[in-house]
Amino acid sequence: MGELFDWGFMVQSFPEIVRYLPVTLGIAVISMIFGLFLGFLTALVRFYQIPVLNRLAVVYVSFIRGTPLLVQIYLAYYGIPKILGALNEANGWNLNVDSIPALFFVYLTCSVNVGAYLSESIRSALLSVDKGQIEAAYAIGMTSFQAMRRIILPQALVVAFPNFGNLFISLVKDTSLAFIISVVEIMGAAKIVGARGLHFFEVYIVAALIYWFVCFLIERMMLFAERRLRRYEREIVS
Amino acid sequence: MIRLRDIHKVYRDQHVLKGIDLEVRTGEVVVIMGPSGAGKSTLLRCINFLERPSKGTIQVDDLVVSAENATRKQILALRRLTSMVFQHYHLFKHKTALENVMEGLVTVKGLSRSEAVRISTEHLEKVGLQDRLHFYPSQLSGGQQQRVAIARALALNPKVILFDEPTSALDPDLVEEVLLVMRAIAKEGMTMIVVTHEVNFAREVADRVVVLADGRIVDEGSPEDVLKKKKTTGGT
Repeated sequence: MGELFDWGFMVQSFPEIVRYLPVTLGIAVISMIFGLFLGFLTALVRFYQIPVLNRLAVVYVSFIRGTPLLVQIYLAYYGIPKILGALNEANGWNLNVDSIPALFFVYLTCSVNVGAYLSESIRSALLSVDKGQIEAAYAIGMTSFQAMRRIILPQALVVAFPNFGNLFISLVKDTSLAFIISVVEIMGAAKIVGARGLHFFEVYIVAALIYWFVCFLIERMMLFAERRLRRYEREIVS
Repeated sequence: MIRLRDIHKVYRDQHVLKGIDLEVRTGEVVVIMGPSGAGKSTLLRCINFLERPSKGTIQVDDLVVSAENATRKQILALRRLTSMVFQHYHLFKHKTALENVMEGLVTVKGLSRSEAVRISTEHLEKVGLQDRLHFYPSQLSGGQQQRVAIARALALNPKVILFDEPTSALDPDLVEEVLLVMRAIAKEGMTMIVVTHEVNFAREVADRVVVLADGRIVDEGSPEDVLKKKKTTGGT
């Protein structure tokens, strides 16, 4: 026990912790998909300045960016059952609020959280597409939907893509907050395993290495994909 | 036939167009000249509603659109009868030359891809770019990009092509290749309204020159008459 570092324990704990990698990745991937959907809708609302909705979108993004994810998770975890309970009573429904799994709140909060950040990067990417090309699209008789789908979006996505990668990497790391509402993912597993022999340093090193490795892989994949996407910007001097 | 009636354009505190009446016959080439700020580009952009006129009517063949109550459908119809060539080309940067020309044919006109490829290739050949079909705009010179833009406008088989200073952004040595293409199109009988400072082009190609100043048509006539007058009065 006197030694600084227990290699044996660390090696032993690795498979126990990495077993929960699918939970971590599951939260990240599912939240990213819903976040993209939400972020895209929000960005469109702001891009076209749709009245009323535009105001709501501004408040949504500002709130998410101005409060810690930790607080948002707690708000969802404690707040939503309360609100549903009150609705139950008011309307005589019979929803079982206690049966909602904790994981649901994590999916929800992470989606809403990353959606706000994604909406900002999508919006600025939409705005980055040269206005002249949009006019050219209109001039050849496209509807605004066609111009969005055929001209603006394909270029905006290329611009936003590196940001998507960065946000996804942040999201993977943010999932480590899920353990506070007792969802067992990498971080939660590390805590549990570490508590067994009070080897916290070792298990957190394991957790760190797993996060690092996963994020490294994502970064490489993003870089590769980005190069392919940007092929049309290559200049050939002939 | 294009007919503009009493076109006004008012920005917040600026009266840019003060009642323009203009008729352009089918096959006619009209060059619009005048000092910068006269409203030339605004007038051109009013014709396809890239700028919404504040007042007046625009007629292209049988389609009459009035500024006050133009519907989205009418504007779309108007734009589908017209084409525009911009000063800064405005090619779709994520598409090759061929795809740029095809885009309107496929998305707007609903042609099949193979049909669109055939028509687009034909038009790119016409502007001398048969060996640049699969180049992206970033890989083309300004003159080549503008020729792609002209092919894109031409391929849609419009009633009129609106040219908004098509050579103003080009290096001097690239101007001629674009003017050459425009002359060829004019010769084929395309109706053209051209905003330009190229006096020689106006003299050789235009059927009529219209001079705009301060939002009004101040002179109009054959190129010889108008350009001679401009010279003697010292206007540009």
